[in-house]
Amino acid sequence: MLRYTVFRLIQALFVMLVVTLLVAFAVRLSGDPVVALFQGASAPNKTDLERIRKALGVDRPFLVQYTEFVTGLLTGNLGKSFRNGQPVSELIREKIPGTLVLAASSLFVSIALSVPLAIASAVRKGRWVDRLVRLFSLIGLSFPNFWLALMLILIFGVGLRWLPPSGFEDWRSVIMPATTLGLILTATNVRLLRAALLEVLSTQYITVARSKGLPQRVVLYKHALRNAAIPAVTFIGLQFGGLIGGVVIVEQVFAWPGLGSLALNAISQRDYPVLQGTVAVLALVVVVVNLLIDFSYGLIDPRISVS
Amino acid sequence: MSAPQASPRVKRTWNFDLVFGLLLLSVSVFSALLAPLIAPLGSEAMNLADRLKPPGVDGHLFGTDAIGRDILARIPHGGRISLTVGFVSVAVSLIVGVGIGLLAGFYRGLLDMVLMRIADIQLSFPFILLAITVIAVIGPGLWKLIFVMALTQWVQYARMVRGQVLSLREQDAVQATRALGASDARIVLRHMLPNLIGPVIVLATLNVANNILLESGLTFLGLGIDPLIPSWGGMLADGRNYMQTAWWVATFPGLAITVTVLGFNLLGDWLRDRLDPLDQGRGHGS
Repeated sequence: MLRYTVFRLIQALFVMLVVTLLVAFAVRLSGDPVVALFQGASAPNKTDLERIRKALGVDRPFLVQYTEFVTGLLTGNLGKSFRNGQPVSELIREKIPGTLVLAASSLFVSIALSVPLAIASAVRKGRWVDRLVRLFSLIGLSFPNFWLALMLILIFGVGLRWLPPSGFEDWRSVIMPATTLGLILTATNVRLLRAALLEVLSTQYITVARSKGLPQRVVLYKHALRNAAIPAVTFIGLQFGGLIGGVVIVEQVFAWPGLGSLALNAISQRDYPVLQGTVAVLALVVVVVNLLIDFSYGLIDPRISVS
Repeated sequence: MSAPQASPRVKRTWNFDLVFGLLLLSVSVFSALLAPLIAPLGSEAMNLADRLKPPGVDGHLFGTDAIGRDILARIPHGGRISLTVGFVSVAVSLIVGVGIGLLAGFYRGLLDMVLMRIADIQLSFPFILLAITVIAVIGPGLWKLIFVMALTQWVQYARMVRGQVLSLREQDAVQATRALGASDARIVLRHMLPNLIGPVIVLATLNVANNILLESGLTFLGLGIDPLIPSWGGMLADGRNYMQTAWWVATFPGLAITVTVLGFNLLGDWLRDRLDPLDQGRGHGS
């Protein structure tokens, strides 16, 4: 157990190192940030450019800047935005609640929909309920998420005027972005959970449970669902990266204040410290979620001892 | 007791997938191929007097956009872009990935170790973020987009092929072939490749669907195809500005994406039922 934990932690650290290095490197390929700062405006003269470069610290060698970034990541000091001089850690802290609320509510939507749908589908395999659920989940996989977002805005924001079309006004603002991401997630999760349930339902212990005369409800929820949760949860963890990508786009469409829009704006403004910090935090979230999932197998299924 | 699996119900299900999938795909592929016939004036013919005409008015079946371009004329041209991105990006990553996977699985060693570490990283990092960063750096464009997709996806094929080569090389048939004096190249290409190509084709089909979605998403964000070239993602981005007044500008390109991607997904599902014994679930996004 200890060896496994240490191994996974080292692996996670290694992933974080490579990711931060890649992003820091990629971002610096993109040209001079100081020139980008003056996009559209009249470019300052050469000595001014030099002075600004020095002030922002981008005149130093790449490795020096990168080391500073990594130590900053460990101490929580991520430098200051090139744009307005605000500390990056402050900017990120401001936006984290928005992204967390969005992620949590879309997970809620997705679980509330996918668990009953997957059960209905697996229990009646091959019947019309199953085929309908399967077709709808396939259609859900084939939607661009931003198109679904636009259609929801069109219907509920513009047409019926039930919900605020974008931005953050009150609690109702979260409904449309969460539904968009939740429906897309549901499409994936229903398929995973259905496949896992079908596999469990064909095992001998389910047959035993049934022949003992246990009611269908107990067999399904106590025996089948719990065992099917393991492969499903693993896959959800693996897709968490994809979910983050969806968050970036959906936040943008709904003008939702979160880490995704922060990162996108930082890209267009060549704001290195903000982009690096945001991507590092997002990557950290993905890595930690996958670690937690790996370590939680023992809790979901006591038969598995992590080793 | 013979062939209990071949119940008529199972058969009917995959037939529906295949027929419906091919139907959707042929609509999309043929309209892209026949784009010059559908839009003889070209996709960019505009008429400012005809701007934002609703569907059906003045012979514009899907309406017109903000500068009076016919949406029905632009969709097949956008389809050419989407299908090119989907097919070429998958072809490149498939060829590279299968090649490296075969070598790594067959010869093991350093290449294999490096490959597996890359795969570890890829599994635990949101690569769309890296894709967005890289495209923001090297600039948008059709071939750059394809390059980034291939760069981030070849690992999937390599990993899959490597795993299968590892199990195949221990099989008696392969050992026997070697004993008969077959060369490495012959064993890999003649005896292993045909045995592992099924799941690869399934993955490729589903990835074409995924990459079309990815392309439209990145273009929508302004990080994909040049806005001057008609593309579905670009048309959607245009339409976003006219949501209040002209619903059709964003609706029809989105439908086109859904029809095409659904077609590939149905075909991929059907292929998986036939070709992939592992039959694993599949995710969305990259």
